[in-house]
Amino acid sequence: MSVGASVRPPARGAGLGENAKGAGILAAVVLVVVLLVVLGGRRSLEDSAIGFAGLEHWLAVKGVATVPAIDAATATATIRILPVYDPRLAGEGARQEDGAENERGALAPRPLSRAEFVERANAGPMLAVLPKWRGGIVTRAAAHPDLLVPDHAMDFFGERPVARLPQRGLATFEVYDADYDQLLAEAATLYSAQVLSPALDERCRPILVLRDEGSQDLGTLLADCTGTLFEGAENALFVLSDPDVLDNAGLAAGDNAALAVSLVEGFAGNAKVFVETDSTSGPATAAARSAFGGEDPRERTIGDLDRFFAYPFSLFWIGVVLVTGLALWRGSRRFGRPQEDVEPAEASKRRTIDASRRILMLAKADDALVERHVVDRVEALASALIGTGRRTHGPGDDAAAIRRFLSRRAPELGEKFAAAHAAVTALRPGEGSRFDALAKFESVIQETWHDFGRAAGPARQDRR
Amino acid sequence: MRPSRRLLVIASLIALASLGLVVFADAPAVPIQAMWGLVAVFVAADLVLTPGRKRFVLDSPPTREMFVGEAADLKFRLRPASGERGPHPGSAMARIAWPPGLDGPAQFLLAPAERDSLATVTVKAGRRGHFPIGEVAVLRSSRFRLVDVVATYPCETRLVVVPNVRAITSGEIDVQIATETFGSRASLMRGEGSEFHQLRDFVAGMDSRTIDYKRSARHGALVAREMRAEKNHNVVLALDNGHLMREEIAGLPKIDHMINAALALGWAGIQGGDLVGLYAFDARPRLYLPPRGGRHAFAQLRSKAAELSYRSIETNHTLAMTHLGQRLTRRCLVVVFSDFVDTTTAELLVENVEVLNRHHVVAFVSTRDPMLQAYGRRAATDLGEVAAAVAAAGLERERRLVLDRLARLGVFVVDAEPGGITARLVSTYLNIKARELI
Repeated sequence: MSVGASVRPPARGAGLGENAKGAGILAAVVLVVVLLVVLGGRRSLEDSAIGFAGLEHWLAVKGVATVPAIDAATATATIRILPVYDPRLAGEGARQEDGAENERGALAPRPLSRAEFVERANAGPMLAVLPKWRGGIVTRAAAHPDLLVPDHAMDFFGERPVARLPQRGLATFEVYDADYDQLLAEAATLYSAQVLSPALDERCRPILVLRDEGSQDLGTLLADCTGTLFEGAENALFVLSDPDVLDNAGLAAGDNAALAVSLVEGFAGNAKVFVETDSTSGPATAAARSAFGGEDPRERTIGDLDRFFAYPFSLFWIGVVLVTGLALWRGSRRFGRPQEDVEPAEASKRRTIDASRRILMLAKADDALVERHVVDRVEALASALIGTGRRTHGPGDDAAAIRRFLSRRAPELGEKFAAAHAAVTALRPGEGSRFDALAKFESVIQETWHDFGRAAGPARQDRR
Repeated sequence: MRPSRRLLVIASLIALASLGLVVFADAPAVPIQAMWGLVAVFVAADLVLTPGRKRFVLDSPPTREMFVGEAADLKFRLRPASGERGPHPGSAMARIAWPPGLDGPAQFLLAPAERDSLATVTVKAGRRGHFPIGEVAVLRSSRFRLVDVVATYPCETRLVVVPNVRAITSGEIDVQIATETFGSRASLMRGEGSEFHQLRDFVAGMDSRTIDYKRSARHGALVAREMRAEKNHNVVLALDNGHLMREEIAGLPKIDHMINAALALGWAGIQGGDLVGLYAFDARPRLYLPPRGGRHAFAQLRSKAAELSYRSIETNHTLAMTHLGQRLTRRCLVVVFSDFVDTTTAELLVENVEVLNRHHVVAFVSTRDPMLQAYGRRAATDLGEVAAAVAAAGLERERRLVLDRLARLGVFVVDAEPGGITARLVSTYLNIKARELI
C-alpha cells in the first residue's frame, strides 16, 4: 500500500454535493449583495436630509392630492413644488466652486439652469424652494453651519435671494399670514433660518412672514413673485426662502410637518400638487438619519419599533416564525443515531514523520538534507537490487555496487545513474544547490525501480 | 415525522416573497396568504395520506460470523406489516450507527422492489469483537415530499468478528505443509532426523552406518534404519498485545495481522504433529495456554486469540519474557510477535529475547509498514518531501538495525509486509523443524 493509497479519495457524489452546496452559498451571498446594492441604490438626494421624498408621502398621507408626474396638458392645473439646489441657476456644466468642495460638498448638488427654471414656471403655477445647503449634508446627514451655502454664492435672477437671520442653530419662529392678517397656529422650527433678501422682498408680495417671540417681523418666508422675476411670466410663482420647512429633515422638526400641510393647502387649494423630484441624478447618500447639528430633535421611544411589526412587516415576521418553527421541528427529529467519533490509530507514525520533517526543514541545512536523502535512496535501491547480505558496507560502496549491477544489465541506465549520482553528490557550496540536481537523480532512481525493482523485490526478500 | 427540506425551502421562499410587500408598498398581500394556505393544505394532506411507521416491518439479516479485515454483505428488507394488502414502502433511506470497528456506509438506499424495498450493504470488519447493530433508522418521503417520515426499527443482528483463518480454511496452509512433508524437503526430513521412521533394504550407495545388524540377522538380509525429523515439539506463540500493536497497517491493527499469522502457524504446527501453545502479554502476562496437539487444540487457540482485547498500555518485555521462560520446562520454539519504535526502546526487547534464545529457539515476527516503504519509493519533488523521506528512512534504518542485531544473536527474524507474514513464517517454521533446531 502506498502512502497515497492510504488517503481515501472523496467519493464523486460527495464532491458534487460539496460543489452544489458551495455554489448555493455563493449564489445566496451574491443575491444578498445584489439586493443590498439595488435597495441601497434607491437612496438618492431625494431620500437625504434635504430631499423632498418625505413631503410627497406626507402630503399624500394628509389627503392632499398629489401626482407623480405632469405633462404639458396637466401642468396648468397642478401646483409644482420645485426644490432648487443650484444657488446661481447656472445649470449643468457651469463651474461653481469655492475651494471647499472636497470637505463640504458641491455648491450645487443638482444643477438647474435659469432657462429650465423659467420653462417650469411658464408651464404652470409653481412654488420654488430656494437653496440653503451644500451637497455635503447629503452624505454627512447632519447639519453644520459650514454646510450652508454662503449668501454671496447665491444669485437668483440677478439678486441675492436670501438673508440669514442672526439666530444660529435650531430656533422656533412664529409664522404670520400677511394675507389673512393672522398668526398661524403652527410655528416654524428652522436651523439658521433664512428669509427673503430685502431686494427680493421688495419685488414680491410677502405671504408668510417669520416673527420672533416679541411679534417682531424677521423676514419673509413665503412670497408671491408672480410676474416679477422675469418677463413673460403669466403663471403664479411662489418662492419659499427656507427649504427646511418642507424637506425630509425639516418635516420632522417641531411643527414643520403641520406648517407644511397648511402652507401647501393655502396656495394649492383644490389643485393637485406635484413635487418635482429627480432621482436619476445627485450624489449617493447615507440615510437621512439626523437632523440638525448631529442631534436628532425627535423623541425616540420604544413605540417606534412598532412599525417593524405592523403590516407589511407583520407578514414577513409571520413567515419567519413559521420557517423557524419548521426548522426546529425538523431539527428535533434526528435521522439515525450519531456516529461515534473514534480516534484513528494509524496516524502516529505519520505524525512522527511530519514532526521530523518540520524539524529538518527548520534546520535550514538543505544540502546536508539532500545528501542524506541520496544516501538513503542509494542504500534502499542497493538492498533491493543486490540484497543486504551481499552488500559491502563503506562510503560509496552502494553506489558502486548499483553501477556494477546496472552496467551489466542496462549500460545506458548505468551511465545515467553514474552521471546523476555524481552531479548530486559532487557539488560544492557556492556552485549551486544540491536540490537542483536532485530531480534528475530521482528520475533515474525511479527508472531503475521501474525496470528492476519488481523482479528484485520478492526474490531478495526470500534470500534475507 | 418532520418537515422535509423541500418544505423548508418553500416556506423560506414564501417568507422572502413577503418582503416584496415591504419593497413594493402597493403589492397585494393575498397571494402570500394564499401560498401559505396552499402549503398548509398540502402538508395536512401529506400527513393524512402517508402511511406511518407501524405499517411497515424491517427484516434484518441474521447474526453471522465474519473474519477481521474482510467484508460481508448484509441484506435489509422493508415490507408492509399486513402482508400483500399493505401499502408499498417505496424508496427509503436508511442509516445505521456502525459501532467502532465496523466500516459501513453512513446511509444507504432501500430500493423499491416488487412488494417491498431492499438494500444490500457491504460492511468491512476492522476489529475483532461482537458488534450488535441495535437499530436501523429509516426515512421515507411523504406523497408530496413535504414531510419526512423518520422511523427507527430494532435490529437484532450481531456481527461476530473473529481472527482471519482464511488461509487455513482455504487449504493454503495444508498444501504448504503437504508440499514440505512429501516434497523435496521430505527426504531431508526423513534422512537427517533423529526419530526412527522405518527399515529399508540396504542398497549399494547407502551409508553403512545406518545398517541395523540385529534386524538384518533376523531377516537374513541387510536392512537399514531410516530416520526422520522429530515430532511433538513445543511451539509457543507469544503475542505482544501492547499499545504499539494497535497501530493500523493496511486497514487492520497490527495485532490482528499477528493473530492471523499466529493461527496459521498454529495450524501448520498441529498439522506437522507438534504441540502448540499461546501466550499473550502487555504490561504483564495475560494469557498462557500450554502447548497441546490435535485439532481441538486449534479450536481453543482460535477462541482464546479472538478474546484478546485491544490494549493501550506499554509492553513490559522483561516481565513477559521472564515469565514465559519460567513456564517453559523443555526446549521450545518460541515465536514472538512484537514490534518496537526505535533502537532505544528495543534495547530491553533484544536483551530478553537473547536470554530466551539461550534455552529455546526464538523466531521474532514483526510487520513492515508499507507507508515507510512508500516514502522510500516515491520521488521527492520538493524539499519538504525530501525531509519526509529522510525521516521515514531514519525510522526504517533504526528498525533494520534492531532486526540485524536480533539475527546476529541467532534469532530467526521474519519481517514482512502484512500480506506476506504467514507464508514466510510457516516457511521459517518448517526450516527450523527440518534442521531439528528445537
